Amino acid sequence: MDRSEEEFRQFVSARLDSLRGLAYLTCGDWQAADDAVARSLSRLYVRWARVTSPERYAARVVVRAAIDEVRRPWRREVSASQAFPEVGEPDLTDSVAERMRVRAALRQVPAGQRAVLVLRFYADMSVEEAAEVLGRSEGTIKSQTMRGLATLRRLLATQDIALSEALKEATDA
Amino acid sequence: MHEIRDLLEIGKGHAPPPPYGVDDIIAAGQRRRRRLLTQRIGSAGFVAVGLAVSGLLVANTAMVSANRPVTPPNVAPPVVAEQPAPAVAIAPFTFMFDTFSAGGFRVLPPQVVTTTYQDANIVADYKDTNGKAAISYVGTLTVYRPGVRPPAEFLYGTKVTVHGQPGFANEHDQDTYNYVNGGGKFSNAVSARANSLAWQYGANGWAVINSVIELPTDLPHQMTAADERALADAFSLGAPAQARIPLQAGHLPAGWKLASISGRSFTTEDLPSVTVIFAPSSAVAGNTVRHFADPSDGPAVVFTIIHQQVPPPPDAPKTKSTCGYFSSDTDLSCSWDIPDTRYAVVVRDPANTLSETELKAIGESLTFDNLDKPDTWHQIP
Repeated sequence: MDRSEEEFRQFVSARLDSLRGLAYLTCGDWQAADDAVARSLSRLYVRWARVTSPERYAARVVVRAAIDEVRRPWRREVSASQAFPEVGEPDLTDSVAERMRVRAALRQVPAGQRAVLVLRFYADMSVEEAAEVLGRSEGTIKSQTMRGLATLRRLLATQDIALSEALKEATDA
Repeated sequence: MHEIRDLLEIGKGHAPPPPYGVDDIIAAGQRRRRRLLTQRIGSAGFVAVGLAVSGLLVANTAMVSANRPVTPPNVAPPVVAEQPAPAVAIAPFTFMFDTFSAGGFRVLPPQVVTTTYQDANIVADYKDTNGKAAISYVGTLTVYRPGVRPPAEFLYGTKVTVHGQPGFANEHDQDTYNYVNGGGKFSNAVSARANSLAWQYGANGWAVINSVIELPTDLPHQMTAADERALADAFSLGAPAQARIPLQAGHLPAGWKLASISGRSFTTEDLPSVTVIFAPSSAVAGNTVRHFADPSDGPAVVFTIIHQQVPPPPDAPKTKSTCGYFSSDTDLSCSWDIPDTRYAVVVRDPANTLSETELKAIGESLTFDNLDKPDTWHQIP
């Protein structure tokens, strides 16, 4: 095993969980998320020696792959047991029920807006970083953040979940 | 009152165990590197035969497997025909067979048609755990137009005769893309073992049945070589049916022509989308098999119409596009909601030869037929 491969192995071991979470929140399906992460990391492996910022590169290809998974026609038709459910089930325990209501709301946020929200607020990326990852302008990221938050706030309200108003400041960042 | 970070954590919940480990990812990376190297070398023995179309069709690319070498696809001389091959004529973009069954397997109506081939899924019918009828994708039947030679990896192996005409049966390794198996499990870019049966259905015309028989993941239904042979024996050409497309492009690069159609309606059993591909006329002409959705096949513009489970909100802009790089670093795509429908169209340029401005201009020039009435779509002349 050469040094480069050992570094790659350490990188994947350290980042796999967070990349899977990033992909899942972007596409809403663990199976699709795992496909996206596996495909993206195999691409990173090929380019490992030439990539100067593997964290950024991995986030970019994983998010793009996860968005692509959402857009695959067959994804829309295949019922996956671990996908975001359409509605919450009221007879579950509070924490599980809340999770399902949150997932139901997230599922209805358009994929592009959801990706921006995930990058900004889950991956803690700046507007500039999210713009670079998604290949969009900073203005688009700002407007998508604003729209995504508004959409999510509205959808959560229908599930009796309130989103912090302080987030309005984030849309101006 | 929640912070959004907390809500996203709540939504993520507890992740299931990953279905792969670091070793699997490294092995996949090594396979990818070998494939890229192979493509760079341009070896004639590794001709891409990927059916990279949207939908559930199995897509394959011959390659060197990580743990099992591909049998060298030396093309053997075909066996001598037992009887004269019937003369056959198939026009481009014309479906020439319909659904048929043999044994426990069913060939669905062909969904993909180009100037060089047409392609159908093969399924097994079964009952799911709830007793509901379901289908399991097990393979494909590809019928090449007379004069078109199938990829070399199908033209070697055990010599056979089907309907008195020569052919080959073999077992080989392949990379499988966008494969959905009988359990609805999706696999992508995995190495698989496959059976193929190629035979001449008419003078200078070849048909190929190809089925995955071994995957790293479970494979609840699979065909044997005998099953493939039974389907080949049951195959016959039928009345020609010209393909139709539900869109017209008002603007395309000069000299580009229709190259491929995938999907015949949005209610078919196996392909819930319609994909129409245009490419330079030089790429469309001739007898070289191209799939156009693959960047290695050169410039093309790919239109995919999909039915949206969640319709756009009533106040959604009707002509606004969303563009971005989604499937790779170089694959730009733009999408539009189709006004007053629950459909959307995705326009992409796999080879990344068109600018975003050009791609948008092409997408904005589209007009659509009534997507819910396939018999009113434009017929290909």
